[in-house]
Amino acid sequence: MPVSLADILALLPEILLSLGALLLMMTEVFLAGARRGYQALLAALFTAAAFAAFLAQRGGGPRVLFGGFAVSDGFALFAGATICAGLLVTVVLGAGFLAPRSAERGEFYALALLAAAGMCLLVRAEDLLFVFIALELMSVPTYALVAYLRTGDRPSEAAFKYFLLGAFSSALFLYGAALVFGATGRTSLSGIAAAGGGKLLLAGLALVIAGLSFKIAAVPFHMWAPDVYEGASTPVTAFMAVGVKAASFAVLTRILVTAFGAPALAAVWQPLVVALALLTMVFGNLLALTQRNVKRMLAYSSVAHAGYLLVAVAAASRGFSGPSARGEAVSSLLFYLAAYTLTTAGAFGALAALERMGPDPQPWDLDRFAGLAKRRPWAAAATAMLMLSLAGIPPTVGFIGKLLVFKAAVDAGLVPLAIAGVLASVVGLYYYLRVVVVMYMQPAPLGSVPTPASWPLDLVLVATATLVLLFGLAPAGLANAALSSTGLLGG
Amino acid sequence: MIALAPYLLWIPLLPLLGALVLGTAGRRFGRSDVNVVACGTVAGALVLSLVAFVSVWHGRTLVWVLPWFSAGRIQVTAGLTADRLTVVLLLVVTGISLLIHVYSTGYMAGDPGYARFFSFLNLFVGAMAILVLADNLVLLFIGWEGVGLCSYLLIGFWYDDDAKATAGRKAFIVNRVGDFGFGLAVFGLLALYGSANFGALLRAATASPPSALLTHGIFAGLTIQGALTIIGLFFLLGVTGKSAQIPLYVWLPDAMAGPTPVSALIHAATMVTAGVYLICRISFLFALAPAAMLAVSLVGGITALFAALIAFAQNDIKKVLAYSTISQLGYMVMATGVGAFWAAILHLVTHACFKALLFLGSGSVIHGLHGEQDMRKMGGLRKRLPQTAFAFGVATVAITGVLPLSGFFSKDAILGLTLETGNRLYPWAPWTLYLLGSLAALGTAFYMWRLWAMTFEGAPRTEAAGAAHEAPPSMAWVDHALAFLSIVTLGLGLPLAGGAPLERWLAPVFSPAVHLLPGLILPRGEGVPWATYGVALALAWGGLAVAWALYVGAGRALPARFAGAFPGLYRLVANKFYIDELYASLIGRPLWGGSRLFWRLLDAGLVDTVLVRGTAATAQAFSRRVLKPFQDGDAQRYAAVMALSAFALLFWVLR
Amino acid sequence: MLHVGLAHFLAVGALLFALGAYCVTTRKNAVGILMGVELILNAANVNFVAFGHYSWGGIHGQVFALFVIVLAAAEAAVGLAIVLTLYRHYKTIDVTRAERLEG
Repeated sequence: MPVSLADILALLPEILLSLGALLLMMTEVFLAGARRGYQALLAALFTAAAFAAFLAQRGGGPRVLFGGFAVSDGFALFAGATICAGLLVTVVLGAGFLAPRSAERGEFYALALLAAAGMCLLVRAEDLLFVFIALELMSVPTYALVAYLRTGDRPSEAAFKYFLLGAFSSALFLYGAALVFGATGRTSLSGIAAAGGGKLLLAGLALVIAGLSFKIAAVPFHMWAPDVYEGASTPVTAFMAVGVKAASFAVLTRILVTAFGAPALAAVWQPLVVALALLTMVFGNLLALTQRNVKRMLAYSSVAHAGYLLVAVAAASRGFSGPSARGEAVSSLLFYLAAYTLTTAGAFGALAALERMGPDPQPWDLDRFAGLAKRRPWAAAATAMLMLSLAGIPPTVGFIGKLLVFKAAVDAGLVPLAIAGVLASVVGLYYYLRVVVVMYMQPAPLGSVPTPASWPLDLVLVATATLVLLFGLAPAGLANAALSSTGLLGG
Repeated sequence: MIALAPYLLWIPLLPLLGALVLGTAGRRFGRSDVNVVACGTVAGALVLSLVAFVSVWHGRTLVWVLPWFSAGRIQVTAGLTADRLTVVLLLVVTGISLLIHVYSTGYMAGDPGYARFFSFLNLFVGAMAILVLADNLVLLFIGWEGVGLCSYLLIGFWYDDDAKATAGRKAFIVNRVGDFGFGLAVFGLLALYGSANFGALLRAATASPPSALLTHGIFAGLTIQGALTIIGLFFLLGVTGKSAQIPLYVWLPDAMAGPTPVSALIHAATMVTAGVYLICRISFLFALAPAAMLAVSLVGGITALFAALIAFAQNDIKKVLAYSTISQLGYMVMATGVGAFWAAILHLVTHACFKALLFLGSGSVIHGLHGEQDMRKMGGLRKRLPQTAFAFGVATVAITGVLPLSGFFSKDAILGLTLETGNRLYPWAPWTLYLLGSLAALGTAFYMWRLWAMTFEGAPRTEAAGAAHEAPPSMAWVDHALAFLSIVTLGLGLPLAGGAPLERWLAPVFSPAVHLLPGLILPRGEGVPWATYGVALALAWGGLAVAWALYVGAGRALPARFAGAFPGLYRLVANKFYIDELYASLIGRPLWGGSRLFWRLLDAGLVDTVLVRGTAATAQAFSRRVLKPFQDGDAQRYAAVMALSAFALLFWVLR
Repeated sequence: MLHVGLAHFLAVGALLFALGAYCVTTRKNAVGILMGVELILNAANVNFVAFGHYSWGGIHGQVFALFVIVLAAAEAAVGLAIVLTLYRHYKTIDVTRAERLEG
């Protein structure tokens, strides 16, 4: 397997992220002073550099790396840039959230950067072995991150649950991969597509989908999500909701479209994905309805959004739509991922900004939002904008995302699914808008102590809300970037 | 002639900028600063609308296209366009808005949320301008959502009151049901014609015959007419939500919880007419779908009568006006359904003036009585509030049509045209609709004069009514301006030879629809027949007479004789208040939790419980009782569910 | 004489998988659950090696299995560390006690 310098240069973003992680770990050894503010800055710099590297690589055609293990194509670059954007928000969130709780350590950023490196590799993977390695590289640091804030018993319980179920799902995926290998004798995605296979391949396909459904938190593989999202410290939750989901969706789409894109196979997995999408949209939204705990609400909301994203995946099945329609479906997925990343990261930022300090049985109750409009009008306006975007109301980027996804579904002939999606998002409105109502229409409860403002968190809020509005008003740039990033190798 | 007009952009942008300034920095402003920003931006929008009007007068169609976004085959340009229909709406929206802004400077004086109120109000004007100016359905939908959001925010404006917040939520949820229909309809049109742009839709609609069979896409197997019928019915669902028609009208009476200027502007004059505007805007599509047209007209006609009946029994002055609004909107929707689009717009314009005036007048009454809204506690206010009474009287005359003011011509144009244009496929429709509309007209006259009698005639029934005081000048001034408008707008509907002025003005806009109509709906005559005017006048005076007899004149003794003659009915018709009880128990009470099964099913039961509380509560209960127990925190159970699900997937693919 | 073929290895793999899944869903001891996860991973490994050997030849299957072994070790290390934090907070590694996050 010849490895050229160009192959290594193509991995520049991942290399930057890993270097940053190593450097940050070193700072804990040599520079562990009392003031650790520089660590966040360092992590942000490396993340921004990786982001820039992804952008700089755009434009060239798809390239095969390492003799077919990985690729560098528009799809990977767009997804990688999205992941880096999510990571950037996470890092700033971490700085604003951990410092007041005296929990800022280099490990936090190092683990996040390492996990992000795994994600970026994952979206490039072109071989099941590479997929598995990247999957683990993403997951293992994330398990550790969930356990990061070691105050209270929530993080350790969440970490254990996440680890247990995550390992189980990795194993499911691996078993599926073994069956696929058995059926085709290949592990590269294009090789699998070329070889084809019978029942054994289908069984492998089912288990691969099951394993990845866990990572994207699709119903009925979602049950870990609310518990883990609630237990993890809020920046970590944001990171999981954004990065893990984006990377897993990218790889799921790549595997399904490239390795299993043949019409006969697509005829098998498309209904499966439709069913998962339906279940996920309906139950995700229904379960979010009853939550007064905003963190759990956002967790279920992220489950629901996995459903909308699955609609785009279903629409991308090559067997049923022409190449241009499939391109639009993939681009709608990418656009939605970017929109979702911005909005969700911002929404968790709002939560982090309001979360009660110290031990408290209900640190994320809806009450925390009451009276925010009076107290901090800018933060309230930003949060409202983010909630509108999550709900999919114009003129936010969330609306455009839903528009594109449902349009893609209609074009692919999945009209009932699109209708179900619209209906489900109607239900979703209720709980998103409830946050807005509480902010604007309820006075703060007596005796509540507002969490002191912290500028990094405010920065996250205002920046994400502004971008959400900006991309909602002028989505052309992002939409076209997504559209020109749909070239999947072999797809 | 098509002319580029970049200034169109500023019509929505000015109020939106005002909203932004007031929303972010308003708390630091003094009241006069707020007034300048809020009224100034709306006045600017009005001036630009006048410029646009003059330009359109000279035969231009104004456009301004902003490439909003295009991705692949999806191209959404945020185009603004102003044709003859648009400028009429623009003038109504910005004009009435300006008046109500001025009125609000008096009405809301001293409210702690003064700047916030005006920022919402400005936001509303901007969103409404977008809705009216949009040259495609997606942009129109954004305005549609925007006005809904403002309505929601303004209904719940005084958020310390729980009932008001609930009313806001109710409005919101019911409207979402409607928006769901709207969204599906837009999707359907995109699937059918591949565009949401009005110009492109018009070209596509005229290009192929409605009987053409569709061979591919989601409507495969249907004719274009069939597909458009489905799409039209979904649009109708959207219209019933926004324009408060059966079955989604229930939010509007509750929406009266908001400040009175809001009721006047949003829930009477402008936003609720958006549905009517929508149908007129895509009239050429409805014209291809006669069944959808029939459904539209029936929904409108039935709503007009039904809401008028409910209004009989209301004692809250704003509730009467709310049901009256629903009823009048029913007229407009009915008119669009029979193809009398211009008449719908005419009634929209006149109704905007006199209904805004009625609401503002009621606001002055409420203001003068320190917040009292119960008409049973009023009476004799004609002497205490002469200015208000005068303006209110003009509006009442206009809406009931006892004298030929604006409402007389617009309503009777609709009634006449129901008879004159007929849905050829449904020969029973014209007479049915005429009957519904005429009964509703009788009802309108009755409940409006009942309102007048209970409020302004007789002797004051409470001390507060006896000590009522006149409103501040800014409010009275606006009342008079609107009274003036309620009179002069009659000029738009004068049945001149060759058609009413507004009919001729709008003829180019609706000519495609009328051109497409003949195969399906047949205009049988020219202009409005005079006979129907006579009938309408008789009905109006009849309603007035009955109301006067029962609530002012000698008829107050009538119910007693009724009781003697029909002892079985005694309990129902004991006296005039008991008549209210009768209506209340038959019609009104179900709305407020009454017991009559039928009405309960129709209204409180079906819509309120199933749709409003239903979507939320049923889902919540389901979620809590059925879904949550699975989520019990046991990681191993989660693993088991995952394993079983994985096996289910395996089973699926291997079956 | 019994000839051991692909089917036998696949049966062992499936059995390991089932046992692992059973272990994960029923054991109360956190370390026991980790073992269950290892069983499933190794079930996949058996399949990889068996398919590689019998069906396709070459070393592809074996290489995959080697990578899985390495990753499983890393995963187990993190897993044990997490069990340790669990123990620190609950003073037990009985997983049925860690059910405070729910709803």
